[in-house]
Amino acid sequence: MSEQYLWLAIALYAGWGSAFALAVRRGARLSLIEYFLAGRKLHWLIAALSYGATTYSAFMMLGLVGLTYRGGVGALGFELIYLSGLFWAVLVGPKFWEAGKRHGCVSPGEVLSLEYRNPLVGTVYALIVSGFLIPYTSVQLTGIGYLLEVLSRGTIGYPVGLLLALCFIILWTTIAGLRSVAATDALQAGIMMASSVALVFFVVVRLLGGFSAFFHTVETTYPRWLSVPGNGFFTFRTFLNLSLPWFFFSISNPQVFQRLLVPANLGEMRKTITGFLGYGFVYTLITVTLGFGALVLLPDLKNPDLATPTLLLEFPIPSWIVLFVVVGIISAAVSTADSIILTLSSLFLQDILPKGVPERKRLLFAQFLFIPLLCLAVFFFALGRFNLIALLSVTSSLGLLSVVPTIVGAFFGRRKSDRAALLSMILGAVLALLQLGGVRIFGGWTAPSVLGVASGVYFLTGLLAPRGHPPQ
Amino acid sequence: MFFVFLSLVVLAYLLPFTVLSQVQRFSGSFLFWNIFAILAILILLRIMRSWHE
Repeated sequence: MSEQYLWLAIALYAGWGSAFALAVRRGARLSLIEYFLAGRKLHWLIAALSYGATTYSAFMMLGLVGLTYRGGVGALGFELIYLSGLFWAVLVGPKFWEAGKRHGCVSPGEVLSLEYRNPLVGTVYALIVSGFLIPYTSVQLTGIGYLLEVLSRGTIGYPVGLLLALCFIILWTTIAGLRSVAATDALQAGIMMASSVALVFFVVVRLLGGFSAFFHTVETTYPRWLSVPGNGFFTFRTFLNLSLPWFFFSISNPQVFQRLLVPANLGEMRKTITGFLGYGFVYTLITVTLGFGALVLLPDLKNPDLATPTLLLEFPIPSWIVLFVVVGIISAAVSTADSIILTLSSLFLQDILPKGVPERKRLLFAQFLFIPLLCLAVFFFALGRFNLIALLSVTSSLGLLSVVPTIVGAFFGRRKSDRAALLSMILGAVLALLQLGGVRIFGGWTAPSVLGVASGVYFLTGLLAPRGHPPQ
Repeated sequence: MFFVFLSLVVLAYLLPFTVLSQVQRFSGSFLFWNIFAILAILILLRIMRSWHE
């Protein structure tokens, strides 16, 4: 792939994205609700596409393709179980939205602080989710760095890819906050879907002889990839450890959880979630199909995460499709990372920064301090060049499981206890960290143990809390 | 609906690792998980219909 073409595609992407971001900036008043929640006036279609672009990251076209390549159909089950996890957004969403709107909350941490009547709950929540989301965000930059490096055959160095992604993130988050992020997300969601459809059709129809031939080839050449445990990668324990954190993704990940505060009313929220469910189902099928296609065409890859870039490089795929896919993957990564950075900066502002700072100053803090600082943290983490996109993504979600009981309990718990929330989040996060550090306390059942301990601590501490606590 | 949905999710974990573990065709776990996702989406749509402000 010619380096000039790559730069041209990136320049077009940057130009269109920035034009979208600047176009929606007009008329935007500077306030926290405007900046972080787009004034609660986002059209449902933009909101649904933005939700899709935020959820589906570089993980899909790199990590999920790689996971399918390595483990087969289990990757489909894992991803569709994630999609079904929108159940939690459907369950918690209306109560969360109502509480947020009633109290004018901007961040999920603020809602939790109000529900538990203790600001420390929001602060601990903000610190925990930030700690676990920085590696996940860095994975997005890693994806772009690898992709450009492989496709340009090393002429665009890995750090250059990271810096490019960083520029887009800083630019599109600071222009108009969620308005510009959502507008560029919607554009990027379209690019992600259209480019992956183009690629999968070319791979299956032109390179593999059509869908019937493709199904037949996979069934006869790689039958063990069509069942679980199949080739041995997806043991039940691996499958559960990978999928359980993602089953709770829609409430455990603040960048998507915060989006439930955005709709103007529940009707808009319903349309947003419905739109996303359709988008997610189609996008998942396309990505998994591509993974099977890569398995047939490139049987001896050492690093499955490089299946998509290698496919683009090794086969006579038209340049326009290649460039479109490259922009699609960059889109997926940037749209996820900028939403996370925006959400984390709102958590820092509302849940960590002392109260009493005027709104105008808070916005300046967000734009010129928190967003650049978070971006730098993500950049330095990404310089570590961690290889396993899929595993890093999922291990970040493992830590986020520790906040799930606190979130569900805030809206459905009979006796809400701030102590229960604090202890549950802290012990759950510590257990996740220990397990990520290699300590196998529960015999390798990482996700169930984090969720089990956090839930158990929440429930038991809640039972022991004195009645009437926290004070009304 | 809550329990119907959770039962469906339990099946999505159990069936592919038990009765479908020897079916090494697209008509096995691949088809099953697709049907699971469609049913899950339909249930979610039904739950959302009951929302009111």
